[in-house]
Amino acid sequence: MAQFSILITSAPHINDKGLSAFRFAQTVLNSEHQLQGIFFYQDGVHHANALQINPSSGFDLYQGWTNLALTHQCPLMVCVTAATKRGVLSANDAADHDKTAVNLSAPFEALGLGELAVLLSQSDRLVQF
Amino acid sequence: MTQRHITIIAQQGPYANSAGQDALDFAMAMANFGQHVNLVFMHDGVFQLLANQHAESIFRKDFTKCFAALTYYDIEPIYVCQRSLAARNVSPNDLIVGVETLDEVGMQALFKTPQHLVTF
Repeated sequence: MAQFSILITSAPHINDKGLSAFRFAQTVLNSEHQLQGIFFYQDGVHHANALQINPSSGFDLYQGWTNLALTHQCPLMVCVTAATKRGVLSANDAADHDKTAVNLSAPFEALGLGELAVLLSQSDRLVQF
Repeated sequence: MTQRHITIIAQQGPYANSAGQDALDFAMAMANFGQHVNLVFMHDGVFQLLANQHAESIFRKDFTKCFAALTYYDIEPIYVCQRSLAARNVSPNDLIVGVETLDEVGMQALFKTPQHLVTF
């Protein structure tokens, strides 16, 4: 049995990496292996934007991540620096920067890169999308 | 915390996007948290290592100045792919100090250790 982690550095919708990451996560969670967590960095933080409106015909990846996290207790960790720079704000970050809108909420969490170091130290395999 | 080897590949030029800065932030954060970090520049990433950059003239911050501080994070030497340099006609003499050029054997050796690999 191996401990996996996933690092997502690409934005949703511009290519199929997000969907590939999601299917990979599902596969790990349904295998004998374990998924320690999913970390969103660079343009990957756009996955955490709660204000995405999904066209009815397409798969709702935001909802997919949310369901996955809740069903499997899999942490969805978002780099706070990368996220705030791109306008993806938790309630705390919005308050800190005097912004009125909030678009990052549970089960996504805004965290520092140090949390990724902890995640990596607990993982045998990191897969980047 | 278990120490892992983390190899970071920087393969894009310095200013077309934020990948270079992000790789640097990532490297320093991992080292700060006790991980063993290798930083390798290849493909267009070798342009990040050119000495005497003037990023201010294109309204950017010269993040490459921070490479000099990597020694304090035990991220040394900084590795660069010889083949990528040659393909771009960049001489090792044009690069900042503290960079070690790796031929194909050296590159292969670097990737032999079990490790996490992150690409920017």
